[in-house]
Parts: sequence; C-alpha cells; structure tokens
Amino acid sequence: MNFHMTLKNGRDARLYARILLKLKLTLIILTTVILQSSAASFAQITINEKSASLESILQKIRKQSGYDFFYSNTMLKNTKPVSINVKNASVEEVLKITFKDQPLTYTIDHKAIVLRYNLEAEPVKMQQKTIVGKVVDERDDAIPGASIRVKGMPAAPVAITDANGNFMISATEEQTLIITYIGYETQEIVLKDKKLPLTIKLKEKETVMKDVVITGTGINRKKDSFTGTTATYTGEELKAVSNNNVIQALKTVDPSFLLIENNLAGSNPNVMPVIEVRGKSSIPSATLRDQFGNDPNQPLFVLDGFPTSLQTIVDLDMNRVASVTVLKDAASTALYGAQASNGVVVIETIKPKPGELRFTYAQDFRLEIPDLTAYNMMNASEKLEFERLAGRYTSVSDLPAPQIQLEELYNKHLAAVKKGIDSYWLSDPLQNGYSTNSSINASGGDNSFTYNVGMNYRIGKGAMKGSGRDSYSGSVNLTYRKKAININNITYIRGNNTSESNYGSFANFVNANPYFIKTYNNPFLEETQSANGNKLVINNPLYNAMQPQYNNSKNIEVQNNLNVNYDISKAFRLNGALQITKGSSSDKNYKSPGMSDFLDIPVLRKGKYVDNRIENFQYQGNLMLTFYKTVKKHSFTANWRNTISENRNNAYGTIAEGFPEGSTGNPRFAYSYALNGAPSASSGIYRSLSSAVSANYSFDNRYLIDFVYRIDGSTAYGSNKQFSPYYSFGLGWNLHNETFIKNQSWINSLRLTGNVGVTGNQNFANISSVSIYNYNSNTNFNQFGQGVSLGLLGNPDLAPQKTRQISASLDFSLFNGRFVGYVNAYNKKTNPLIVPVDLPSSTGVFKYPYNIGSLTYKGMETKLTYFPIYNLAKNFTWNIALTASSFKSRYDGFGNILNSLNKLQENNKTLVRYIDGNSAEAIWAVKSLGIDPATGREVFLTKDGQQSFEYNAANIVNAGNTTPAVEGVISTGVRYKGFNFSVGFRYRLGGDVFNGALFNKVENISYTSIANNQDKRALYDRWKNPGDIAQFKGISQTSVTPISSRFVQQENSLSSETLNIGYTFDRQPWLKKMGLQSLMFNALANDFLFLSTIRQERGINYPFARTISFSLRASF
Amino acid sequence: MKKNYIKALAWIVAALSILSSCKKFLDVQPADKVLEQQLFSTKTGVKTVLNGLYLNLASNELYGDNLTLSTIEIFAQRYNIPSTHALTKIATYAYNDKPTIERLENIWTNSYSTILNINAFLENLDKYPGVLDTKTEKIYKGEAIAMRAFLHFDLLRLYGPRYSTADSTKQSLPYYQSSKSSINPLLPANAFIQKVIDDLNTSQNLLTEDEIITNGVNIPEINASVDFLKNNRNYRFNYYAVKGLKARVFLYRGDKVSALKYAKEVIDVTAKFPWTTSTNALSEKQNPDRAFTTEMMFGIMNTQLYERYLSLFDPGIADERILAPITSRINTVYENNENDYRFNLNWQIPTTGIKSYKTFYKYADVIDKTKPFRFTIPLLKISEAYLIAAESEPVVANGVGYLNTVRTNRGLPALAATININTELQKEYQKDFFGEGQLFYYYKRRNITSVLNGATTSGNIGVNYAVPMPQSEALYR
Repeated sequence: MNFHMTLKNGRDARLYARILLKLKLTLIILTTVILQSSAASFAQITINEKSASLESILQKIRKQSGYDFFYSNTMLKNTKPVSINVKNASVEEVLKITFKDQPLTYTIDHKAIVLRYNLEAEPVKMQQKTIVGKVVDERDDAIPGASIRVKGMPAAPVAITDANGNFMISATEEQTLIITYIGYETQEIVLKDKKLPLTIKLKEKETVMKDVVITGTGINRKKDSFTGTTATYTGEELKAVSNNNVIQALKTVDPSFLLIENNLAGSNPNVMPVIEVRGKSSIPSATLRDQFGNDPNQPLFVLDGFPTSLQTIVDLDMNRVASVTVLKDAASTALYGAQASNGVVVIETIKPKPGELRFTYAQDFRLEIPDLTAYNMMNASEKLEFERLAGRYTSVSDLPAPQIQLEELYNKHLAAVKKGIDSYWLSDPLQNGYSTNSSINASGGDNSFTYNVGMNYRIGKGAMKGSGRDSYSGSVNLTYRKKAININNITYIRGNNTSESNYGSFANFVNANPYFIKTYNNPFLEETQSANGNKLVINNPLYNAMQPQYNNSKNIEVQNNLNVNYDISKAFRLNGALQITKGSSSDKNYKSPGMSDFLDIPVLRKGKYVDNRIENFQYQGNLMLTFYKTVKKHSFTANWRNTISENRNNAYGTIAEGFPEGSTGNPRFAYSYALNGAPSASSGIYRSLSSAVSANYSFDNRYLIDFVYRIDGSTAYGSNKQFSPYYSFGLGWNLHNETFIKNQSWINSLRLTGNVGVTGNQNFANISSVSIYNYNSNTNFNQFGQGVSLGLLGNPDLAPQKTRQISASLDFSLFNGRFVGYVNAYNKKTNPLIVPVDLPSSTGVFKYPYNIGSLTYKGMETKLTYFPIYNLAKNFTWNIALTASSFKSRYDGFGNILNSLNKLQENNKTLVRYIDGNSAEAIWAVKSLGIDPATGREVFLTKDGQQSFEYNAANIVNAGNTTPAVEGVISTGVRYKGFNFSVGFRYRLGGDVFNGALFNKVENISYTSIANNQDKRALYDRWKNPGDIAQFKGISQTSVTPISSRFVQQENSLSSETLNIGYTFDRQPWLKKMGLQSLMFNALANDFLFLSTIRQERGINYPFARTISFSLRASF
Repeated sequence: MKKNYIKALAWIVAALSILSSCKKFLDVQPADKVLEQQLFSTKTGVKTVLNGLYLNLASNELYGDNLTLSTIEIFAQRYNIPSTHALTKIATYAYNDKPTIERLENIWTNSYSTILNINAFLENLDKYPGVLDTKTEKIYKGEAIAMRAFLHFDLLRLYGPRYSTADSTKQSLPYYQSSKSSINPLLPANAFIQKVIDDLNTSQNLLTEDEIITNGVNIPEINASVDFLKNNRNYRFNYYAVKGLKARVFLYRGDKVSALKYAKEVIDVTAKFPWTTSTNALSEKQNPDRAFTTEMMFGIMNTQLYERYLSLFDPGIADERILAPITSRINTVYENNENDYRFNLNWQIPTTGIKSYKTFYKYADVIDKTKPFRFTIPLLKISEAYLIAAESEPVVANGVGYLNTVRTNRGLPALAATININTELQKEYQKDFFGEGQLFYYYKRRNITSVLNGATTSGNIGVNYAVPMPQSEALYR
C-alpha cells in the first residue's frame, strides 16, 4: 500500500519510486520461480472484449484470477483501449495481450501484479501532438523571439515565436511547456486540459535582467534593440564585490567608472568620493559653484526614476539594490539632457513581488583595519641623526650663546634616545573600525496589490577613533495593479549621523617626533629655539584630542515617490510620476576653551561653537506618453517625456564664542556670539523644465535607429539663453540576426552600435547669469540712507556647457556564451567650457564666468569575460574577466585668456595649468636634471636647453600625466552549486604621480618642520658630501624646493580590489525545516594588498584601511 | 478617428500653454540676494543703488581714508613717518612693498569697481525705463556720470603719467563707460582727459535742473528727513560741483583759459558756499566746523570718520602709528601764524600731555552729535576755485586778488600784488587741503620733484611720481 501511495504523490515521486522499485524487483526476481509455477496452475481466464478500457479488463482479470493489481489511477490515463479474445488462458498470457502496445508493463509478485511505466517503449512519443499557440505581453502585443521548450526534455527541440508571436511545438498532454523571453518572467504552462491554440501572456519582469537597459526615465529598452552604450549590474553582483556601498562596488565592475583616489582623506567615511565617468566635462572651479552646487564632474545619480544626491547613494542599503545601470554615451544619456554630460548612474531598488509574505534578513559586518605600511617614518635615533646632519643644532648666528643652547638641546635629545625612548605615535589615534548593517525586508501580496516594507540600520566606526557614520533608512512600497492602471507608491525615510575624530588630522601623528615621551597633559612637547634663533614650539597632538569637543552632523530626509501607469490602448501608455522630498541637516562643531587653538585668545573668547543648518525641499515630476507599434518586421517605439523640478535650499548658521573651562559644549554656556559676527544665511531656488522626444525603430531586429531630442530650461542658464536643446542619434546592427551569421553556431550575439549626441552639464551656481547687489556692510549708511553695490556682475549671455560625444561599441557573445564582452570607443568634447576668467582689475570684475575653450576626451574601454567552465546543468562555472580603460584629454581654444588662472595655479604651487593642446591631467613642473654631486643643489633645465641652479617659473613645462596608459581590473570567479569564489585585482600602468611624500617629507623641510618626524629617505637618500650621487638635495638645505620633475614618478601599481568567498543554501530540506527559503553567507576582503613601483605616503589626513567583511542573508 | 484628432489637438494646445508659462517658472528671485531687476523696478531701489555709489566713495579704500586722510597725504610728506613708523614704506615711496602695494591695489580696484557700478547703474536706468520721472532721471544720470569722471580723473592724477605738457600723449589708463566686461585699451593721457571732460560736459547738461541752482545747498532741519534731490546737495555731484571739477581738470590739463572760465562761474555763486567765519574758527570751542563744510561744493559723508580719527590721529595712538607732523614743520607750513583759522583750529598739543607735539584735530568729533557737518570730508571747496582762478588768471594782480580773498577768509592779511604768486599758491595748497588729499596732485601737476621731508626737521625728499599700475591690472594686460 505504501507503494501505491508513493506513486500517487505524482511526478517527483516517480524518480523515488523507480529507485524503490529497483530494490523491490531484486527481491521479486529471487522469489519468482516458485511463485510463477503455482500461479500458472491455478488461473484459467476467459475474456472477450472489443475496445474496452484497460481498467475494465484489469477488473475482469482480477475477478477471474484472484490476483490483485497495484497501480495508480494516473498511470491509466494514457493507456489504450484493449481488444482481447481468450479462453481459459493463463494470467501471463492474458496480461501479455492486454499490455501489448500499452505504455505500462507489469510484474507478478505472488498474487500481486504491479504495474509500472514501460520505459523502453517510449510511450510519450506515441502520444505527442502538435501544440500551437501565441505568446503575448500584458498589452496583448505579440512577443516575437520568445522560446518555448518542453519541461524536463533538455534534448528536445526548442520552438521560437515568429514575428506575430506564434509558435508550434510537439508535446504530450502530460507535459509542461516553459516559455522564456528576456525581460519577462518565465512561465510554465501545464498542457493538460488546455484548449488549443494556447494564448500565453508573459509578464514583464520586475527585477532587472542584464539584457534590459533601464534608463531611469521609465523608458526601458531591450539591450538587443538599443544603440546606446550601457552596462547593467545586479545588486547581487555588486554585493559580491563590496558590501559597503554601490560606489565601491561599481568601480571594480565597470571600467569607465573611476573613483578618484583621495590621498588626503584616505578611508574617512564622511568624505564623499570623487567620481568620474569617461573623464571630466568641466574645469573644476569652486568659484562657479554656489553653496548647494555639486562637483561639476560628478555623474548624475538616478534612484528609482528620480535624480538624487551622491550622499543618498553612498548611504543606500546595498541589500535593497536590484540593479545598477551605468549610462555612458550620448544615446543613453540624452534623455537627461542638461544633466547628462558626466554620465548617468541609474539605480533601481527591489520591487515587491506578489506571493506569500516573505521576509528577507541581511546582516553585514565590516572590519576596517588601518593600513600603516605606506608610512616610512624615522625612528628616534634616525630622527636625531637627521636633525644633526640637517643643521638643527648648528646656530646660524656667530654668537656663542645660541650655539651652546642648541648643543644642550642636542644632548638632551640624545639622552632621551639613549634611554630608549622611541615613541610610535601613529597607532594612538587609530582603532580597528567596524560597521554593521542590519536590514530587514518583508514583501508579498496578490496580483493586484503588492507591498514591501523594509528598513536598515548601519553603524559605522572609522579607522580613526571617534570618526564614524551611522545611517538608517525605512521604506514602504505599495503597488496596485488593475486592468490598465498600475500605481506604485514608495515612501522613504532616511538619514545619517556623522562624527569626525577628535584626534584631528592624522598627519599630526605621523609627523610627531619619536624621541618625545607621549603625554596627554601639556599642549606642547617642547618649547625651544630653532637654528635660526626663532622660537620653536612643538605641539602635542595628543593634547587637543583629550579636550571636550565634537564635530557632528545629522541628516534626515523624508521622500515620497508616486508613479502611475495607464495603458490608454495597446499602442499608447501614459506614465506620470511625482517625487516630493523634505530634508534637513545640521552640523555642530564645538571646541573647548582648553584647546591649543585658543592659546593667544582672551579668556572670554576661548572656546567656539559653530552651528549650521540646512533645510531642503524638492519636488520633481514627470509625464510621459509612450507609443509602441510592431507591424510585421517593423517595430517602432516613441516616447514624449516632460519633467519639471524645483529645489529649494535654506541655510542658516551661527557662531558662538567663549565657554567656561571644562564646558562640554552646550551653547547655553557660551558668553556671546562671535566678535563682530552676524548670522550667516543663504537660500537658493533652482528650477528646471524639460521636454524630450525619443524614438526607436528596428527592422527585423537587425537594423536599429535611436533618436532623442530634448529641450531643457533651467534657472542656471544665462537669462538670454534660458532654454537649451540636446539631442542624440544612434544606429545599431544586430549582426547575429543576419542569415550569414545565424548559421555560425559559435556566434550567439554580435552587435555593432554607434551614436553621436550633445548633452549638458548643469552643476553650476544658478545665478551666474544674473547681476546681484549686496548691501554695503562697513559704511552701510549716510544721511540719505542705505546703499547697495554690485556683488556679482552676471553674464546674461552665458551659454550652458555642451558636451558632444561620439561613441561606438561592439558587443559580443560567442561559443554558447562562454566568451562575452564589449569594446567601446568614445570621443567626448565639451565646448564651450564655462571658465571663471580674471580680467584686468580695471574692468571691476573678478572671476567673470566666460564661455571659452574646449576639453576633449578620447578613450576606449573594454570588458572581456571567458568561461573555461560553463556547465549550467551542473551549476558549475568558472570565469576569467578583464576590464581595461584608457583615455587621453586635451584642452583647446583658451588662447592666452587663462593666463590669470595659470598664474594663480603657479602662485598656489599647484601642478595644474590650462594650456591649449595639453591634457587636463597633466602635471606641470620645471624639468630637473637631478642633484649636482659637487654642491648638492638641484640643477634645472631651462626652456632653451640650458642648465641652471636658478628656479624660474617661466621654465615650467608639461612634466607628466596622472592618467595611466591603461587601467582596469583582472578578476576570476568560480561558482559551483551554492559555492562561489571570486578575486579581483586593479592594475594601473604608466601613470605619473607627483610624489608628495618626497616633496614634503624628504625635501622642503624648513627650520620649523625639522622638529617634525620625516620620511626615512630624508636621512638616507639626501646628498651629504661632495661627490655623492644622490636623488635628493643636500641634507642641510632648509631652503624651499620648488616643484620640479624630480618628484614626478611613473607609477605602475597592482591593488587587490576584492576577494569574496560565499555559499548559498537554497531549498535544502534542512532549510525548510528551519522555515527558511534560502540562506547565504559571504566573506569579503577589500584593499588588503597594494603594490606600487613607487613609495609614497597614502592617507595624509586619514589613513587608508583594509577591510574584511561578512554578509549573511536569509529569506523565509 | 476624428475624436483622436481632437484629442491630439487638445494635447498640443495644453502643451503650448504650459510652454509659454515656462519662462515665468524659470525666472527665480533668490531670497538671500538682491537682484538688479528688483532694485531697478522701484524708486527707492534706484535711490539705494545711487546712494551705494556715494557710500563706495566714502569707503576706507577710497575717499574715506586712503585718498584723503592717510596714504595720499603721506605721499605728500604731510606727516612725520620715520623708519620706525608702521607706514614708512609709504612715505619712502616703496611702491612694491607692503603696505604700499596693497593700498595702491585697493585704490585702483575699488575705484574701477565703483566705476563698474556707475556704468551698470546708468545702463540699468535705460534698461528699466519709466520708474523715475524725467527730471529725477536726468539728475541721477548727471550725478553718476560726474562721479565717473571724478574717479577716472583722480586715477589719472595718481597712476597716470606726469602731465607735463599742455596735452600729454603719454600712455595712461583705461576709461570705462560701459559695464560690458571687455578690456578697454590704455589711452594716451590727452584722450583720457578728454573723456573726463566729455563726461563732465554731459553731466553738466543733465544737471541744468538741479535744485541747487535755485535753492542752494539747502541743509535740512535737525532730525528732518533728507530729500535726495533737494537737501544737502553738496554731498552729491551737483551742478556747481561739476563746474568746479571742470576748473580743476582744465588746470591739470594746462588749459588755463577754460580753467579760469569755470572757476569764475563757481566763484560767481560763492554765496551758495559761504566762507567759514572767524566765530566758527576762533570762538567756537565746543562744536567748530573744522572742515569748513559750508565752503564745500562736494564732499562725502563717512560714518566711520571718527573711528578713522581714533585709529589715525588721536593723541592716544603710539608714535609708530600716529599720523602727525613734526611740530616745527607744521609751524613752518602755517608760517607760525596763529591767526590762521586752519592752524589755530586744527593743530594743538594735546592738553592731556600725552603727546609733546601738535596733533591733527580736523576730523575729531564734536560734542553736539546733531551737528549736520559731522562725518564730512570735503573733496572740493570754493577756496580751490579761487586758487585755480588765481593760478589761471593771465594778469598776476587779478590772480593775487583771488588769492587774497582766500587769505582774508582764513584770517590772514592780504598780500601785495608783487609777490611770487606760485610760491604763495603752493603755501595755500599746503594749508588749505590738509587731510583732503589735494597736495600730492598739486606737486605732481606743478612738477615739484623735491618737497619738505615730513620725517625730518629740515631738508627735502625726492618724490617718486611713478606710481606703478597694480599687479591685478598689469598681469593681465
């Protein structure tokens, strides 16, 4: 009976049954001989039937023979009617006739007859018939190219729908069809009792697949029919690289997404990253940005259809990310018109899925271990020896008294060194930072109403004590779907709390002298005199850290996104969306009166409290009409999209001064506001409007045309040029759909696209175009009253920056998807730039914004992935991937107008110049011929080829370029069943670096900074005696070393980006028992290795950190 | 099908109407900034901009300090600035050292930025028409153009070449009559000064309806509101100020005929700018009008004046920072004549005994804080018109006549017609414009290369008139 029951359980049980059967049969065979004889002798059966059902025949056999039959009812479904005419036949004879041509066979066990499927007879084939049907989408439009296969029959031929969505396939009634199409959810159709022809409606996939381009505008395109260059990554893919934030992960997976390393800020969690996609599109200049402006080279971030801030993206919970799409070229970004020239990063969060209530819980843990290997500082005895050689203890005056004083000082220091004092200051402000992120998410609902509620809280502690960033978010996502209407509403609340380390700049600790004993009590380590007789006070970096203080910020934002889709007809769809955001942030900074900042300040002004608050209100709305039509081989899509947005900011700040000693910083205890201070306040309103038309035509899915035109209006433009048009035009060719390639079985997909377009950059102050007056402050009245004067002379003719980009791309997938990749090339020219030009002061204006010059980037990027093992059936893959990016930039059209900017760069001792024909990343310095062995002085090369000891700024030339010849990531990954492993390394080849450590800590050590600790090379590698061949100038020279090519070094580096080991348990029985659906563990390590051909200090004000992290995700 | 067309049409109409309102939507008025358009749409707004120009003039960088009280007078060796003094680099004409370089930079950039303000003001009056009545608009424009000429002229006098010939063609400075940010060329001095005269002519024509012609300066009652167009016209570039300025400009150019013509035109209305009285100068001990503001054709009101006094001239200031002459030098200037109103009134050894030498009281505050002349620095007085006439008069005797009018109104006896008029004129310039910044320009115009050294009790010092063009200009030319 047990056996019967098992069979009844259906399909899955069949396999199980088969194994059981084999066991039983063995037993049966052993006993059959005896049983058979007895059976044969007793039963005499007579039956005469025509086309009777098998079941009725079996009933008769049972009655006449007394044998029992064991079978399941379903087994009789496909049996044929039986015609039989026997008299007094044995059971065996009757059974033989009855089961001839039946899909079943039998065994006789004592008086039991067990029926089973006759596998050798292939009964299914006998039952096959032709199934015809049509595959359509939710709007009942035909889906051409969808594939239909029979479930459980991997070898069977696959049917593909034709242009009208029709297909034909053979299958039995018993079987199930699987219908798949990119961008749509896979559907299974049980054929039993289905009327033919079938109409199969596919649902569009909510979560993104890699083959769909999400532009963030509501216009989602099949990658196959799009001419733009984009790259899409799933949230899981990114999380496998880094569980910190999306930005960290994107830099590893996408070659064109560059994170500019911030050597000053290191791994400070509160410093926003600097990002470039395909280079810069403007001159970085703070003067044209107002308080609320963005980095003018930063790409636009779009979260769930609305532009958002970098900060929101940095704090975004990675567990909520469904996909990230990087739009790089004109065709893909033109829909964003004036905001698009730096590229667009589109992030979609996970949408609720219908189904039972489903919880997902994720826990991330990250350890940040400060990396001190880059610091190459002297120990106590080395330092003292360096000081001696550098002349710290040799008085410059001829008088004996100062010399005696200095010698006493030397002996004091020497005594300390001999005593064994060798303080290592670097470790004091550091800790092993960590962050934990808990994220929980619940979703469910039926087809008409789905919901998703999620929240996360992240605690982050940085590698410097006291620095940290905590962030949190909560969201409620509701979707209502009925007939032609689909409404989605998401409400977010999110925020962060940050704090800066009370230890201040890490540089103070790196520079602290090792022969002093660490102390917390005194603001100075030593008060003495330098060799030139000046007073020399050596600050104690630990002292300030111990005083009460804080530097915190709080940020909170509430946001609501409403999105409505209405299908007007099969061809038209209307989409409207509205986002409203309200946010506020506050910064509070307190320094207690005991801190060394206030040493020379009167008592009532010691201590300082700074409070800045910003309120923000923003709305963005858009309305889009979509038209879609397919006629035979012609497929046409068009969109008309209009947007409106307004952003209001209000900032208010005050400063209070004077606190009682020991005060912990409540402003209640401040004596007064800052001397002659006034509250600072500013407000800004920024508005923009746009209307865009985009059209796409594809013929036979072979030839593709894309066109976008957008007109943009904003308050940022010159008042004479409020509106500005942008456009793009693209062509594509799906070679894999051509007959001559279709036959090449090794080519799966091959597409060539190219496009050209013009986009803009809006990250400028919104008032550059309008003249602004200020109330005179100091002498602000006379007998006639008050007066105003010009604060800023606007340029009403200022045109927005425009970037013309030409791109070409080749995408391929070869050898059954074993070798996939793309090669992109681009030429990106921003013309005109907006540059703040200094005019002669007689014009009365400074930093007047001008349209002048151009900046061109030419580059290529590629990503190639090869799978040595690609066995999807066994779920076993191994891939090796390479990304590479290379570009060059060039300024043009400046003439001599930017001489003033260049002069400023020279005065500020920076390496940047704006000169025609040169790269934006060029390093400018005087050519150095090295150190003269005779004198220890630096020899410069003048422009006319002469050698000179004299430094002259006129000899500054282009001495290098920070852009590497090629940069990218090599990675490999293995996935076997639930196990996955991946590792990635970033390589940079051939970029130049201005080595700041050499410039500041080996040379340029003044009488004052001699008291600070320095790089070891200052002692070992500087010129000491005539004849020394040295890289660095004479050790006793305290004079200023100018910027020269001697400090420009070519760097090749290899750094570990990511290492990841994980295991995913999915639908294992033990999981079920625990009530879990899936469980995933992941361990990650980032930045654990950095190899470089040059030695330079990394992390000046904040050290870099290596990170190790763990993730756990469970859904139930 | 027809319905569809109507639908489509409705869409288009709706879209067009939205587009037309777009422009309005994008015109944003920031709340924390005052926009040009806001100011020039109301009478008060325009007035505030114009008054802003006068306030700019009164700033410390320009006539509130640098061009009247300190820098320019130090160049003229007015004060005792020994090598221990904080401002020694100014007194020794070290133009490329701090603080001289900074001050010259400030004078230049602030003058030209005020000129930009003037030009923007004039252009905006045309750009936003109909806000002012015609008469007011003419007067506002006249004042602004006069101020433009005034600033340019003083820039020429300070930074320009020595105007040694009647019509110098030496390269001078750029002249700006538009707010367009194009870079104007360095004009020859004669072309530059012609532009000054052109501007003054235009201004004079615009100011023909100035109420000063009928009502005079018209000092308002104490605490009464001050009308921009009617009261205290001598704090504005009025009709007579323009004429007086013309006399000054023509004399600088060497055109004595024109100089005399305009000087006389002003002298004819001396009644409107009455001479100071001996009562004010000698008897009034509490609230004397030390700057003789009644004689003023144009001057500024600097509300920071007494702060400046306290940090420049007050006896309490340390020796290395105070601006005060060596007593024997100041006695020489005033020829030891205590009857001279200017000497008696403005130069005293502090009664507190804190300083043993005479300090400068011209800009010290008075007891009565309601006096209308407080905060005033004169920039053009009727006395200068007389001195210009005296210098320009072809008949020496007539010239001495003008000079004697000034002397008698200063408590000094008349001179004989036989004296050397230039020697006497120089003395009067030294006496009359102390702390008003005119002497250095007088020396430069008269080509006097060697003047009394302020830092020594005897002996002269060579003046360096080659004031360089500031770096902020020279670098970008």
